[in-house]
Amino acid sequence: MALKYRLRLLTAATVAAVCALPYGAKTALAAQVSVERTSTGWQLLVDGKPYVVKGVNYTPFKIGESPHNNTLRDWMIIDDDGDGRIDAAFQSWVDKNRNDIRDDDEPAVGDFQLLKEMGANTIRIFHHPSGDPEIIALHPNNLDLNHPPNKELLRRLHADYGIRVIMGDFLGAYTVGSAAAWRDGTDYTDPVQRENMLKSVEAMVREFKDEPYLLMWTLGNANNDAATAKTNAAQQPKAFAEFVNTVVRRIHELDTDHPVALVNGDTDLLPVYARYAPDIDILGINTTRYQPGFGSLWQEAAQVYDKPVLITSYGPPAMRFVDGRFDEIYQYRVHVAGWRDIARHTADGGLPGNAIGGVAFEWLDAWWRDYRPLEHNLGKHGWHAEWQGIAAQGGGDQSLFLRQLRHVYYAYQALWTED
Amino acid sequence: MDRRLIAVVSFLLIAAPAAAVTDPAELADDIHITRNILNAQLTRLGPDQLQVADLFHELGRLYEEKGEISAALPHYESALTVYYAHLGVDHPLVRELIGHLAELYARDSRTIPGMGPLPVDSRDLAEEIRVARHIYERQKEALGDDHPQLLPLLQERARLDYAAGDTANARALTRELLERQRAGRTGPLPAAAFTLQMLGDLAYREGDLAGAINAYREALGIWETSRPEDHRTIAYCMRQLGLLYHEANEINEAIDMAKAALERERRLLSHILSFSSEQQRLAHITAYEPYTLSANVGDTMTLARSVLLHKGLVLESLIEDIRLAASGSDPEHQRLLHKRALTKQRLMQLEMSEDGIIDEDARQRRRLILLGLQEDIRRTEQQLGYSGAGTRGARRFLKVEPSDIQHALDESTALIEFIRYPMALGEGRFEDHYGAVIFTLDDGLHWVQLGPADRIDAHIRRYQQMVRHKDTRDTDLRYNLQRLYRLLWLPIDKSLKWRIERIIISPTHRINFVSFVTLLTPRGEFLNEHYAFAYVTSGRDLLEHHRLDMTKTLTIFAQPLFSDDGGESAVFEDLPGTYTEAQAVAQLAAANGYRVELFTREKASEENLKQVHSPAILHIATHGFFAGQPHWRHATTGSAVPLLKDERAAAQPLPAGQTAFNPMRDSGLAMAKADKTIRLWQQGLSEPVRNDGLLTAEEVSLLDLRETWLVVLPACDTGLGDAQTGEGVFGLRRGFLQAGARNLIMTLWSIPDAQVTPQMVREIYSGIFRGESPAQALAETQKKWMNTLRETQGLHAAVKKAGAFIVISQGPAYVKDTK
Repeated sequence: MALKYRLRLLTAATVAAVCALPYGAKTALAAQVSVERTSTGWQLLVDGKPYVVKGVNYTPFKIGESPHNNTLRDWMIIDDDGDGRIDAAFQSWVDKNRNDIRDDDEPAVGDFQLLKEMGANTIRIFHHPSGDPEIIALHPNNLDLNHPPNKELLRRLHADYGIRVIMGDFLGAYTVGSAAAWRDGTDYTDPVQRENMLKSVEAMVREFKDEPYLLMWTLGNANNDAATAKTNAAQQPKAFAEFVNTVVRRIHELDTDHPVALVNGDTDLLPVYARYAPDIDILGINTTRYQPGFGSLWQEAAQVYDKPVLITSYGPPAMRFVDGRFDEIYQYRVHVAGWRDIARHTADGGLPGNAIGGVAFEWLDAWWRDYRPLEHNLGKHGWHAEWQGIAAQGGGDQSLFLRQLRHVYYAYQALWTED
Repeated sequence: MDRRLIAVVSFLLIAAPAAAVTDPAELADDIHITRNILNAQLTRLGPDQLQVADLFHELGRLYEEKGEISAALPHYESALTVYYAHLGVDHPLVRELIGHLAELYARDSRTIPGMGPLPVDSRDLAEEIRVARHIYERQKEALGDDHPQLLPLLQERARLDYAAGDTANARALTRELLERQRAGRTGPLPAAAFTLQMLGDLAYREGDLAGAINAYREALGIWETSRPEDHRTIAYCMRQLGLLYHEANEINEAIDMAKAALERERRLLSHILSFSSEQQRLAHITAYEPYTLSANVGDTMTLARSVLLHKGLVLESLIEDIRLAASGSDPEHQRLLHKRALTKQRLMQLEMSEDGIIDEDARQRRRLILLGLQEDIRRTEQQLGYSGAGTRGARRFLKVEPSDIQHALDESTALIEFIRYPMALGEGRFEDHYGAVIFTLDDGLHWVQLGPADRIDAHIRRYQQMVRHKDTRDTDLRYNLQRLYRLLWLPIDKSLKWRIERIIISPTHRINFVSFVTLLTPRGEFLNEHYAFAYVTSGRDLLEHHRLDMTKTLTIFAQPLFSDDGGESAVFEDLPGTYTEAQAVAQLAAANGYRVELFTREKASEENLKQVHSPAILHIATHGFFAGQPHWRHATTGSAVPLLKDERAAAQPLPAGQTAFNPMRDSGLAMAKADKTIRLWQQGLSEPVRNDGLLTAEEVSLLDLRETWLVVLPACDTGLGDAQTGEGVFGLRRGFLQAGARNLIMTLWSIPDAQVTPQMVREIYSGIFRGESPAQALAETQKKWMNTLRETQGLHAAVKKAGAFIVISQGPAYVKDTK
């Protein structure tokens, strides 16, 4: 094992040495993305033009599959009807009347088209389904990684639908990338685990840095939330922040064209990042604030850690029941309030002008979250996590094809397609 | 006992006092399991079965225990609908559930017609309307015209249009909603009743009074056939309809509505007070505006009944709970009382220790413990309420009628019940006004309108400044006192017969801080030349006839040693005059057969005061403090430092997330060691609250003064506090009354501790030992000293030095010692 890791270190060092030289050796297709401080606030620039992220967390899960029992497949390769087209991306159809039956006036549209019509310009995904043998070796049992990423699919997403991609590495969240035992969780003081995670990130950057659809990198997914992320970031904040900074610097060495965002759980640990992770380009925040909008988040971030802020995940913490049904109005209004708050805090919106966009959570109901992937169940602790989709999957018989578009879909359509 | 009643009683008592807050994970699992059973049973049995109602009921309970009131409410309502249909309104379970629901409604604004899931953000209203319209149009295309999912969207659109002032469009949308709700349905439909109320509001906004009345009348009809008779929605609808009748000049109908609504509220309150905590009770009454209809209609009898029903209600119910629990033989009740006191102490200690916690985990743990303690107090108070009044049926004071009060008065005494109410100005506009209901024995009841509250409050504020300020000119003060006389007293005076000599004031809001004896007539006479004054929290206090079982003991606390470590006084100045005063009072009392206990200097401590058990008279001569305006704290410590020495200039707005202003914890008495505690605060440290020298009003409320006839607080500002509701003054006044004291002599502003106060105090005691009531003794002494001082030192000195004292009673104010 020790030899194996030494070999990996050697490989990493070699890659670093190779990549350190040809900074400019990138494909012409890759966009140049940067963040810039203007007189009115922070802006995200794509090829020199301002870009507000109108994003969706996009990971359509087929009903019955679950990461808990190692049956989850990568949506980017699922073609269950064998027609050569990716099911979710191109063949989903809208069950307009919500009768769970495909009627004559309900043709296949595809999620990519639906996202475009909704006005989204970005999706947020993770790279971990990966063809990198070293990364696959880190996860012998956890995920279906045994295939190369479907980069061509993402190229079509960008070329045909105008949608860019935020590519993320979990940086040890859920032990992904660290190879820590699930029971123990990721330990940011462990040099071996740190090395594993760094390698995972390097693999991601090497794989995607020259892709035309790439908008930015994200690290983690609220890793400071120990209960769900299974890491010790909250217990060892300095070690975590210092490691994050190391990883960011490494990405900057490998790729100068795309900024790096840390995805944090709300505003916890910001003072620690301000001190020990100064090289982060963008502060990504997953938040469940909804009062409406995000309250003092903008001011707090500006005062403690003055970086551009991307809300990387937001939406109702739990839809509530009214008359035995989920209240879609509540869901859409929380989203609308959230988006309006983001818009009000962009550089063109108002002080402190540090918002660069938001990524709504999430595209499709995920039925696996309560460990019973064939049932659409209520959540625990008041969080109905299986019902947060912008689209529902109806009765579940026609997954991954059927889409019942909730009110929130049309709300974003009104907000995002206005201009 | 019926099985279902047992279930409800179990539900109310289930939280055994010793049990900690339920594990949130277990609770979530319980909800999850119950929800799934409910879904299965709904499919199998349908919604109208009692078994299904039990599951709804249980799910509501679980959500409530979890703190999710909005989620609990619809489940309780579903359960209630079925229970009501099967068991009838008189069934104990139905009535218990109604009361419980009403209490929950007060904590959740969801049920107010027109309220949506989130507050409307006026900054983006136009955009919100555009988004809602877009969703509606697209979903209509997708789902079809008749899909039920469209109805909430229609309501949402109407709500947004209404918020934007587009009443015509909102009304059209609401009409469409109503038609769709009714299509294909028979029988009463609560959703349609809400819609009708919205329609009524919209019609009113458009000036269509008849349309508004019709809509509300129809809504009321639906409520009366679909909801239990004492459901709060019915009372709300009746009040609104009554106001519409009033505006349409249909006075008889308006009066009928006022009477009917009052009866509904009375029944509702009897439930709520049976099993809710102090905070829940306060939340409930502040959600009401009980006098609006009867005051605007001018129906004196209904207004008088409403005042007697609502004013000081929470305070009285708490006192009754504690008294019943303490006087009973049930050890469980004693244990509950003890537990309540201990938990409050722990809570106060924890709140004091908030400074200096940097670690986020520790902060989070502290927050959780705070929540747990608050929950413990809530449950203990609920259990006290249930075990006291709940087992005896409705509370006695809910049945008080104006005639009961009139017969408690003699022919020379009048009770003045001040109220604050929204005066209807027409076109949906209201303005807060003060008014007074006058109770007399021979001359019946009178309703007097006093005018806009803001105007009167401004004069009272000015009055409070002038009586405190040492450089106030007599001419300025005279103008203010005569102005207040014209605003507050003259309209009342015109309704009083010549034989009235004694006045019992039941004040409200800022009127609590007026010493009526100081008002000047147009001829320049103090009002106490014509009347003697005493104060009560509510006119119901006059019916308090609990006989005291007291020993003839006088306990005195005087001249505390504020800084026992030799340090210089930081905030509280030494009070040598109080020692002289205490000795004189002690000698006087001993000569009248009282056993006297005297605590001074370091013995005048909080700890020793807490050891005192119901002396007949308790005399505490020390500084009072009141942290002042809500949401302000001391700039240096962040803690609730008493603002006695021009410290207001240094006060800063309370940072977000810190403990909110609580007048019961931010006001109190300075005992021995008080200065030392403040110095520790300034260093970021804290003392154990049980003996830190700062006896808060909350701690005062836990003293044992159940058989105490009189408490005398002859120091500065002891009568101050927060008076935002019709519940008297939250501060020391409420603390001592909750502890059980029958009469309080307090001050409304700072008084010089030199010659006058000790002499006045001695004379008041002389009167009391002669057998006079505290009110009589104070009235005579005050009158003499105000006149003497005015002649020798001028108007301001007379008011400042002698006018600050008031006596507040629970019980007949002009009756002498009942021993």
